[in-house]
Amino acid sequence: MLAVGILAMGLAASLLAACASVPYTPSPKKVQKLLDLIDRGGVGAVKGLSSAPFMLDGEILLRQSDVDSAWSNLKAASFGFGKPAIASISRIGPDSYRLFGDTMDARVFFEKYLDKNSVLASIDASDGRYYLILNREVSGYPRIQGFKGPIK
Amino acid sequence: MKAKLLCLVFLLAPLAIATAEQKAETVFTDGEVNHKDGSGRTRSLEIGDRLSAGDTVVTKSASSAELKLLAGSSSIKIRQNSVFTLGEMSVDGTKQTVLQTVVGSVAMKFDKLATKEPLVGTTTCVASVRGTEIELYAGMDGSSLVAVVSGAVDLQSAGQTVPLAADEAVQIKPGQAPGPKFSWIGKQLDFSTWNQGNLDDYLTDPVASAQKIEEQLASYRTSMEDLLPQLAAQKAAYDEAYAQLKALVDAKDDAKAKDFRDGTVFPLMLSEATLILNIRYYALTSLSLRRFVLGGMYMQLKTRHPLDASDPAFAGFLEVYSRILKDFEESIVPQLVEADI
Repeated sequence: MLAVGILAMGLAASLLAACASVPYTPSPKKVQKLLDLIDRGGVGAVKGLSSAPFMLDGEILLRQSDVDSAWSNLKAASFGFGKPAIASISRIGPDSYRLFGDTMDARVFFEKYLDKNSVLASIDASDGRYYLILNREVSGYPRIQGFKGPIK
Repeated sequence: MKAKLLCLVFLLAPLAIATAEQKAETVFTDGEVNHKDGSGRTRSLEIGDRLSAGDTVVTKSASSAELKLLAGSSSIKIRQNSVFTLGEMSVDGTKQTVLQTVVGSVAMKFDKLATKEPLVGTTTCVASVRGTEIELYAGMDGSSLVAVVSGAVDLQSAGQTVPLAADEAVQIKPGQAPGPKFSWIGKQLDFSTWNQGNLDDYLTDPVASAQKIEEQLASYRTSMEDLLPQLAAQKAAYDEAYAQLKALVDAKDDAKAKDFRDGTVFPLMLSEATLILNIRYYALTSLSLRRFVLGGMYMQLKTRHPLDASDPAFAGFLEVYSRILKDFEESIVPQLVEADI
């Protein structure tokens, strides 16, 4: 009986370890929930949802105060995606950085500051295409590591 | 072969060791403070951590840090939302520490130092100090405000030098000569208000602000490019001397090898290292200006006009911005390494 218990615990621990090592991929529903939050100007209200270092188009924002200013400016400008459709959610590839800029900055940001849990969400909206770099969830939302767009 | 190589490495080792000198120690931190070292690794700054040339400290909101220079007992107080770097450059053949406030506000107090006092500055000005207590403010548009609490400062910007005494201050716009001196008795600058003024000025005419950054970056590029041919010549001379040293080692002529190393190879190594140091200084200062000032400018306009790049102010800015980025990639990036990013 004791042996079965130990075996079950070991199995549970292995499963947990395996789960932790599985790269994160947000569901379309989770991404939609995040887009709704951005539309409402609510990113700044969720602590840790968008932290430095952050890539805005081709710019690396290393100061948290700059990341916070970016989201508060977007809110003040009443930014919204306007009927967004999720075109794809994909893993970061070796050339993904080129979507943000064919520069040393963009390449090193993708190599150094992103990890296996980072994914690229492509969003089609009325103003053009957006790219969001997302990672494991914070308060039920995928964490935002980068934002580019709209690309007409 | 291996033994000879080891012998050469041993002969040339003292100079390599001398380049990893620690400059400051952390004596206080409050809130969230990050430390990026020269290898590009970023971690939380803790009391007792030592910093070397090439290291950067970034403070978040409601956070601060205090460093103590290891040479003497000078202190550096880095206030919230600031970026501070410990740099190094060679002036008249002497290696000098450069304490650079990239953005935000930093107070420095220099006491009796065991070595020469460091240079202080922002990404757009540099100053030599003498027994000084000084406040440095670096704004979002590259503007600087330097205020002397006690002692004396010789401030340089755009090729002009202004001496400042106690209770005097001056503002400097990027790429411009220092503005007129004004009295600074008992004042405490509200950095947020001052920086908001810089932001308002920038938003009024973003093209002019971007052009000033372009001019400042161009002056660093020129300084750097002046050194590159000298470096190439120095490198060729060193390579030739190294081959001669190797021949002496191969011939097991140890006495001659030592004399040649001390009299010829080491001086050439030092000259090359000095040139590399200054080229790196200009490249890293350019990177700081591009990252924290130009990048901040871009963020401010882009997020105010997220859907409308045709806004005249934004469109005009983007034209200058694109030109700066192109030039940066071509002239500065070749002097950077991935750890700098």
